[in-house]
Amino acid sequence: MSEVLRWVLGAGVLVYFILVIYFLKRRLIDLKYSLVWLLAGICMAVLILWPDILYTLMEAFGISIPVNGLFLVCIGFVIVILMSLTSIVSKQTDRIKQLVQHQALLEQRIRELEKKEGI
Amino acid sequence: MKKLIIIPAYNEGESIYNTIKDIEEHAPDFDYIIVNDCSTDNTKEICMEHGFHYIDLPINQGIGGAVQTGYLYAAENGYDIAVQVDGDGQHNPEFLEQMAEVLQRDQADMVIGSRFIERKGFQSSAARRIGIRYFTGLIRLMTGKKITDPTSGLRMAGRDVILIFAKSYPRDYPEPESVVDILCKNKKVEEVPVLMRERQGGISSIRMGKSVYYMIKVSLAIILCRIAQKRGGK
Repeated sequence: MSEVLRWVLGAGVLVYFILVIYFLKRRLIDLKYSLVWLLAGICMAVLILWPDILYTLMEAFGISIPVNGLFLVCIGFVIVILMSLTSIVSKQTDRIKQLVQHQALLEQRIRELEKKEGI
Repeated sequence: MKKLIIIPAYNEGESIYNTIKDIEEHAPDFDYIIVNDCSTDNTKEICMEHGFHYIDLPINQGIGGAVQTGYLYAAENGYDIAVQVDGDGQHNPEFLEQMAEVLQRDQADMVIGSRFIERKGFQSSAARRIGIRYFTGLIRLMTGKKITDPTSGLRMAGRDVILIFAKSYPRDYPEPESVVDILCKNKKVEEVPVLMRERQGGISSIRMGKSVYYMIKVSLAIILCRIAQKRGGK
């Protein structure tokens, strides 16, 4: 990994952190869901600041170009984030369904009551 | 004994009136509730005009969500038996009394009206029959129980199953999956022979392009249910 690439990647991670913190401050993402984002950023920062860790790991895995290892880690995080998103969406779909059903049942009850009371 | 008929209705404006009249004539002991799943036609207007009992879902929930609303209603209002009857006139309400008798006599938790025991009446298309036979085989493999018509929408549930369904019910294409759910919970499922008619109006919820998705999704659900049960059993 060249010195220039390290600087560029470092700047990228910095921008990434600023963005995540900006979103958190404006409450545009829930702290709960941002943990995986922050964790990904910290991992990237560590690998860029101490590239020796990356080199050792890549040698152990037999990956000849270290930056490819970096991409692998990135893709891994993206997959984890996507899975957590799918799980959030599924849970929300279920909650919306429950809400809709209860609202409909209440509406029916009110309607029946009004009919009985002659409103 | 309080008995409820759940009628999920999505764009059944053409047939809902006849379905209700049929029920009032042939199954007078049963209460009924129509679940209008945000129809885009005049289903709701017809219900209002004739003073039918209906629940109006404000957002379309698909067949599973609509039927589950019916089970929630049954659970909240203390019904002992709930039976699902499609709004398109395929199901003949004359069989409901007989199904309720079987449910009580055999102390079953669920009774399914099957087209394929006596092989009379509307038998569905050849392609669908192959699909249904495949599900029968898969369910037999996974649970050891032979269900000849796992896709039948005509199904009656006792109080236990009403409560289970009110809590969790599959979202789309729910029939085979929910039977397996019940079987995996060691509930007793029986089948009685019924005659079904061809739908009187509207279009089936299962269209050609979606059948592949349907097969894969339901197979996966059936297998998953079995895995979950094994883990829970340990």
